[in-house]
Amino acid sequence: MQVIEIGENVYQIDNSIATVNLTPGIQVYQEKLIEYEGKELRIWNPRRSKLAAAIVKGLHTFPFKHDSKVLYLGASAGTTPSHISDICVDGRVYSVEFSPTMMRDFLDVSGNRENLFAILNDATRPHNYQHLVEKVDVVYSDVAQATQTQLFLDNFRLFGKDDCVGILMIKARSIDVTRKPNDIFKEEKKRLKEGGLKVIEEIKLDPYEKDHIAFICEKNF
Amino acid sequence: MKAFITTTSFGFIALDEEFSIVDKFLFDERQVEFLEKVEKRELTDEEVELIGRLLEDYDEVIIETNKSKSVYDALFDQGNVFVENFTGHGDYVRANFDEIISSLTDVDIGKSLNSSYNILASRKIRESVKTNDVMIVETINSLDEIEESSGKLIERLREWCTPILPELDKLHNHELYSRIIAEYTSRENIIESNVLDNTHVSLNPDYSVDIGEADLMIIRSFAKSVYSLYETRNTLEEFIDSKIREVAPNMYDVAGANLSAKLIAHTNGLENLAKLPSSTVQIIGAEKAIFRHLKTGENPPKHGLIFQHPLIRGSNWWVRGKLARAVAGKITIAARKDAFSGDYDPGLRVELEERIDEIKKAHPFPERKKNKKDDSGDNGRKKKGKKERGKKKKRNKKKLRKGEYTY
Ligand SMILES: C[S@@+](CC[C@H](N)C(=O)[O-])C[C@H]1O[C@@H](n2cnc3c(N)ncnc32)[C@H](O)[C@@H]1O
Repeated sequence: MQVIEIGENVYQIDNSIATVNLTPGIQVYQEKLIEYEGKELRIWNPRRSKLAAAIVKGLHTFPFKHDSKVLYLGASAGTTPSHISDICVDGRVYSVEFSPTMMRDFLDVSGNRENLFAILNDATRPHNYQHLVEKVDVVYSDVAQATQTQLFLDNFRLFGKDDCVGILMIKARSIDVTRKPNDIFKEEKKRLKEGGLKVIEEIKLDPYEKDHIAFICEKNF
Repeated sequence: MKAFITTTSFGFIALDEEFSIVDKFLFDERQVEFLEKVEKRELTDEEVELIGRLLEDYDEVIIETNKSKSVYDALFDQGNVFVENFTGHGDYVRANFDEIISSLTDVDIGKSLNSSYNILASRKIRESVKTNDVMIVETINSLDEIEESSGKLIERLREWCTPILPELDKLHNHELYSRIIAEYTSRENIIESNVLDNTHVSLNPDYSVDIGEADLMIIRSFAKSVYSLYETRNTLEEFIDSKIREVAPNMYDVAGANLSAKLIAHTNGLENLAKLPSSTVQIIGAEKAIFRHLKTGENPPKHGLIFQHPLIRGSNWWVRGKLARAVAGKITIAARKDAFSGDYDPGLRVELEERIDEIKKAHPFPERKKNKKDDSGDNGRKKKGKKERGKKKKRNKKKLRKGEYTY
């Protein structure tokens, strides 16, 4: 078994990646746990988490540090947020999700992890949770909605620090099933530019997710 | 001079134009309570007091809030309180959050937010359950009433139209019938429109009755109302479908949207339904029959609303009781998952269908009561430990078995 540290609290184990489990002994989605030098590593499955897929596919910009503050839109049941929580041990992950059913599962995860903050709210209305969130180092968005780019921009403007890194996961099918994914990606990229951001990296997520792309962006001064 | 109020997760913070903190109200151990009020856009006494204090020293108070201006105007009518949903001062507070909050209190910010937000979210989940219940109950009840009314009205419409369009009575689809009359009304128009192309009904172009334009108009106007009732019905059905899919995905799979909604309405909420034993779920909607059973010893009902389940309704009469038990069992499990764990389990529907097939295979024919002696002997053995149940119960039991033939 070959283990290399590839980021703060992120490891590569042979062909897999993993994060250091913040809650040893506890799994979030039945992922494998591995003992390594007195730490417990949690395998991070690229089929279950788009962020893992982006990393496996060669993501360069990795803005998550041990003390990062993150705004996570579309937290769902907490699969990806739990890994970010492993990484940002001294940070805060403000996690917005609007489905009560999903949030119920998320609470099982955030109940064990002090750096996860559950926010049951609609990400298209950031003013409604403005008082619950501070300025952050990373805005991560994975909502799989037609208006995903717009809501990402709105949140980025409101909560992103000047040097904030934005990660936007785009699912072509949620925007339009009839058009070519590449055309959709191009158009959404243009929209980001018009919204004042510049795309510094883009990664297609296949074969882990079909017709998905990750845009990594920054403020364009 | 101006003062700016920002709402944060720890309290209301007031800054002056130079971004120095000049006043505040901290939520402290009442954090969750206050955050709930903020969420509901309630104006609290504490905020009012803070504004009052600031107005003594400042000409204007600008509040960053989601509440509308009128909420404040009712209390401060001198025109010196302003409302914005975003201010540069609020932005400053959010950018220097740790510094500002830790200058005001020594709580562990992370710990406190984690636990308060968890409580806040779980309360909101509970509330959303309640509003969803109300929506489901009201919608399904309205749907019932619409069906009753439209049923009556379409009969009227048909009677009204029969003299002029006798062939059309063979068209069994009420909605289409009302639409045709509403949109085309006269024989010539209907024939021209081709709306009947995909039906088994056709109109004779030579048939003629004397009817004036004014008469047609009045029929048409009535038909329009009837048709719009059908449209409303469809909208309500779609709403119920998506609502049940959202709040009770397991029940949706096992019972379908309509039956799920009726069960939820009958028990006044998903959680109430989920607390019932499966034997009760099986007879929900058959309360009259149960009452009769208790009072007169008549056969107990074997199925209430559940009888509408397509897997039961379409089956042979002699297995329906058994099917109802199986369906009720699965619905109970589904309701509990939906109400209490929220886990979606696509396996429930598959298991139910398998169970139903098993039952049907095991009972291909109606079971005639074989031999009276045999039957009672069998009963006796099974009930060994429960002999004390007494004769009256036994008689009931026999009746119930006989009752199995009635459906
Ligand atoms: C693809 S899933 C996210 C998966 C998650 N990011 C992970 O990797 O573990 C999308 C989630 O976004 C949520 N969502 C969609 N629209 C939203 C909105 N406007 N506000 C908040 N959450 C939203 C959905 O309820 C769903 O749970």
